[in-house]
Amino acid sequence: MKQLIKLAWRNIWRKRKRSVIVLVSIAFAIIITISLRSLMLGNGDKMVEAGVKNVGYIQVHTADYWKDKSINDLLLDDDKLIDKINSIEGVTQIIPRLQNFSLAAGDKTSKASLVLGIDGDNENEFNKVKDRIVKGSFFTSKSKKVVIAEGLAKYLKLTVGDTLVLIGQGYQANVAAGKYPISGIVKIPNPQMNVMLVYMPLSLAQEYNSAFGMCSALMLNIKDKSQTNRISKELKSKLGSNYEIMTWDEMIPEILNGLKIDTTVFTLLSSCLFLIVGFGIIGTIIMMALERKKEFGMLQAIGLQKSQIQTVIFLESLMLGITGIIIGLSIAIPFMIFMYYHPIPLTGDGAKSFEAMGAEPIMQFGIKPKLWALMSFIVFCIMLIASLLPIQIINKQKVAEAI
Amino acid sequence: MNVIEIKNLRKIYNEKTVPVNAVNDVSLSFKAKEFTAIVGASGSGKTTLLNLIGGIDTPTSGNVFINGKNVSELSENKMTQFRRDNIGFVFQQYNLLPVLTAKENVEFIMELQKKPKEEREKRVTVLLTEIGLADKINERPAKLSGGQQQRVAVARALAHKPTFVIADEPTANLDSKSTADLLNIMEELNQKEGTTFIFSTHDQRVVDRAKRVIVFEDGKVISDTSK
Repeated sequence: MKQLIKLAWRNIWRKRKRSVIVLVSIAFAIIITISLRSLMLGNGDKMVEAGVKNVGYIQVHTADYWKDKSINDLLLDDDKLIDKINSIEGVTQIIPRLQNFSLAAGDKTSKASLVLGIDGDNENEFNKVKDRIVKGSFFTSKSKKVVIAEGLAKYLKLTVGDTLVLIGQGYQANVAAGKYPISGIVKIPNPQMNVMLVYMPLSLAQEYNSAFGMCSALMLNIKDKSQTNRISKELKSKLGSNYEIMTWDEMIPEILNGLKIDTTVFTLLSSCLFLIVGFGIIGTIIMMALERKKEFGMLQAIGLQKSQIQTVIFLESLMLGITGIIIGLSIAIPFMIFMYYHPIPLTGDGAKSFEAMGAEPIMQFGIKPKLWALMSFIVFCIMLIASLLPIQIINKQKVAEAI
Repeated sequence: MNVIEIKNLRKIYNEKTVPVNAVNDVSLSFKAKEFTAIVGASGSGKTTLLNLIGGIDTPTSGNVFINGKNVSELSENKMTQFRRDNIGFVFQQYNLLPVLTAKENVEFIMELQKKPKEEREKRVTVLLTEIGLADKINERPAKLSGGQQQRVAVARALAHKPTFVIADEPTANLDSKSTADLLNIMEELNQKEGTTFIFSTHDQRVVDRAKRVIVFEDGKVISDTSK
């Protein structure tokens, strides 16, 4: 075997230029596919992260809440429920929310708005909501003040220190109405939410909606996002059918659909690239085999079995493939790591579209070792397929005709 | 004792279309240490006969016995192994492996036979010295002249001490000096090693040096004379 390995390795370098072209093709395919996919996955992760900041990884509601989001379908924010959720491994934070739609009014104008009762500190720990303050300050948990979105403030011509009037329907048809001083104005990245959101301390929201000790959702943060489905299943079995358990991808399916489109686009692009590179490699290896028919015949004549010659050819493909993959990875991996820590900042419309989704306006590359392994494996398979044709040529070859 | 015995050997090409009798009912025998030239015009069937004797082609009918063993009945794999252990080949185009040095080319078959390194090295040194290329041991074929390459090919053919060596027009691409050198070497090794040599040729200088000359025409033996 040692002899065959030596022969294969030296054979690779007998047509140096041709081998270099094959190696460059392989390395190129690896670098391009890994870079492209890392960028897609990095941005995808960023979108998911931004989406999850709004809804949490998992939410617990009362049964059928999500469909209508009615103020009458509320959860009792009791210790028993909290303890049950906390007993599940991987849950790190439970963030209660109470949301309802109301009419918000300033001096002369009014607008439909989403009143979101939050536990400010708890919420901030999860999604840094307080960092979005552009004017004034965030309320404390016992405060009777509200924070409103920048767009809504502009529409209602209100600012910090002014009073916001809210009127709506509270829990079980109670009238929800009140006047609340504005302690701060926040900028919400999502333009739709930026013109309708009102943050209110949870206790004040419960009072406003006459829903004392209640909340519409318990938003969960978890230790490892890959455990989302496992935790969701455990919650379903532990809490029973009176509760609705929803994961982030069920609540914001548009992000998941976006990721699926990305995957399809990447699959098409990479397939085209691999086909082009693959045909190039296969053509080169077939040419290499046809040129050496006489040599193969001579080797058989002097006593090399067909299987041994086929092993040499197979080893040549294997060595070319592995060398190309190593070269590709040794360029792609440091590049990915550099880009991961130095993302490309976006400006103009590109930046706006990212901000609209609540994501930082940067092109973020991801570090995905599984992707590196997958791309390397695909190229490796192409090389193995490429070696099958010369192996077949040797199989059919007759010594007397070859020499 | 006969090393090679061929009985009623026949090779017909294009049997189903326009049949060509490349070897037509040939029976011959070769003794140990023979130095035989098979002579004939192009297309007379010399190469086909050598291919059949060397087991790199299969006869349409008839048998080839080597050391009493009917090799015509061997499977492809067994025949390849038999060639490796019993037959040496010298080709017209030298056919050395371009990526191996002279030494590596000579020891190639012994390595396939898994002979110990010491034994291989000793044998290679002896042979390369015999053929006058001890100083070219680490040169690749591209750095050697045609004559030198053919001498290395002869050394490779003899390295594993085969029963006989088949050489198909070994001097066809050589100048007269290289031809003379090669013939000297082949003769010397034939004597020293006791290996049977059978070669096809057009070259009168080669024929003159042969101990036995078989004249071949239209796939048949016309004359068979020993000197």
